[in-house]
Amino acid sequence: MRSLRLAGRLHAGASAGSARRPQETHTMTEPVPDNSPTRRDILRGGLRGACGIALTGLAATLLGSKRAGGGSLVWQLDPYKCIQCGNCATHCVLGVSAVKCVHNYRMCGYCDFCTGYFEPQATELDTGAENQLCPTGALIRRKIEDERFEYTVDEDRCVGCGRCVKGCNAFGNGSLFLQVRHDLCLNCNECSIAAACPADAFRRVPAHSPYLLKGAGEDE
Amino acid sequence: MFHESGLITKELLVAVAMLCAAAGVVVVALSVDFSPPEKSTLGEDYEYDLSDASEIDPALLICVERPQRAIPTGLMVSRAVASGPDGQVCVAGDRSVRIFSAKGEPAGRLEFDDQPRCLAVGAGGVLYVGFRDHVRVMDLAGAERARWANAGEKAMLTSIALLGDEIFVADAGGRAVLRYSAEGELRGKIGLKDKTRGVEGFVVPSPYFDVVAGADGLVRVVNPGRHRVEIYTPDGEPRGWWGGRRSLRIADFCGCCNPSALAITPDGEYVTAEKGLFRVKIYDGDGEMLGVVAGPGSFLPEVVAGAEAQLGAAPTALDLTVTRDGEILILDPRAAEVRVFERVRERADASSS
Repeated sequence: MRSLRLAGRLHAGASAGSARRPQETHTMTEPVPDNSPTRRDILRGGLRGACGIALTGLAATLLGSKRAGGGSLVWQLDPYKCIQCGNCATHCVLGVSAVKCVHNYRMCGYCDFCTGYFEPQATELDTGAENQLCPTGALIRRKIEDERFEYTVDEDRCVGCGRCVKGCNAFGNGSLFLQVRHDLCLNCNECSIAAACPADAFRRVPAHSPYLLKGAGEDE
Repeated sequence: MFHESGLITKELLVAVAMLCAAAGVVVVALSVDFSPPEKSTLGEDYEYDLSDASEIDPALLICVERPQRAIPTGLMVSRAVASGPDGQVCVAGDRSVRIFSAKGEPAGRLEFDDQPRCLAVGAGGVLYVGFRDHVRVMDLAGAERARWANAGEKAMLTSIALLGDEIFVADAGGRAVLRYSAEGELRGKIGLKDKTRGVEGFVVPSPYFDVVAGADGLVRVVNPGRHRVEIYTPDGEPRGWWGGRRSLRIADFCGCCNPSALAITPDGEYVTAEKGLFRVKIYDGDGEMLGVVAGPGSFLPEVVAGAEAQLGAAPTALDLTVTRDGEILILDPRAAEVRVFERVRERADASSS
């Protein structure tokens, strides 16, 4: 009601202002009642309007968060939609992307010839840089037993290019995949990687469950 | 002047301007590629390129496909194919087994409460269907004759082979081939590590672990992590192996773990299928490559934008069988078809390989 009355007053004031000139022209000596709002009226009205907008926004936010499960939303990458285009490495507003390779060890085959670790044409299965697929050496290989090797991701080195993910998906079980790491992500309102993602793989997920992990299915 | 004469009115000018704008939008729309990029936007150094290995020399091809004889499986997820002694073709997938006649006509359908993962067809229409941890013996009419004991908590049954009156079941989870009697009694395990017998053990990184039986009474088992085919007697004595070379070269096996499927011809030759880079090839009894049945170009690409989202974790690897007539049947899960290939040459030119 208050905002409605405020709008009415402002409208009346403007009309009075525009209609005053003829009166000033024809009745020079008679005092004309000044209905235009004072600066205080305008400030008071503006404050009321801002409060109204803020309350409406708060209500909308509370309603939205209730629908989302009672928490705020964060950006995440759906690993089943990701095509490892490279945009995650280049479009993040951070100097080094918040998107990192992660590893589901339950899905991993612990292969000697890991196609996420080695170049497809690798001549030797050793840690020589020329044999490694990762351009930054962020995937670490460690022998466990016989032909079984464990691969871990050094997140400080990982730039989120997804090259290892491509290799793992091509031949292996797909246990390597990309995720937005929320200890790094600034959670921009408009994620610049999401805007550039050609596979539409980014979406908002509840902050209390911020990861979209592979490995839920029994075949994995 | 024209304006004065009424030839060019304001409305005409607006219409021309709108047409030009519309034409511009169409040109821009046609010139912009909205499809997802196939290559990394980071450049060549970040590309994972298998294009060289995807090309197959046509001189290596020794089979031709008979597309008119392809059998649509009607399954969302196809897992295994087998051919019977009477020529019937059976396909396991979803929660059913589909049965087709030798001509590819639908001949039956068995429904289950679980996902069948492998199967074999014996004499008299006896169907052995492998689930994650057990085998059910069925007849082609759908009656369950027997359900064998659970193979263990870690079991992941992936292949079944029949040899005489015995049944051999590959267990990827247990990394062994289980030897059963016709009644389902477990008689032994093949391939467990045993230095005294010279058995190094199976390396099975993913649930693709195949076993076949030859007419010579020996059992062939894929050791996918070692990229080779191993030969055993029914009681588990090793008789040798072939393969073992891991590379993208056509005569070798590629990736982390291949071949993913194996079949044997009536003449004792091997047919292999690889996952990742789909290649189907024929080897002689000593493991020398004779030629190629089908190369990567014959199949839908493994990595398709958005396909993973649609298929999720559904298996996309090929499965194989060879009919009594020597035809090679390839189960192509992405096409949801059993594709028929016929041998037209004994071997490729030696110079080609």
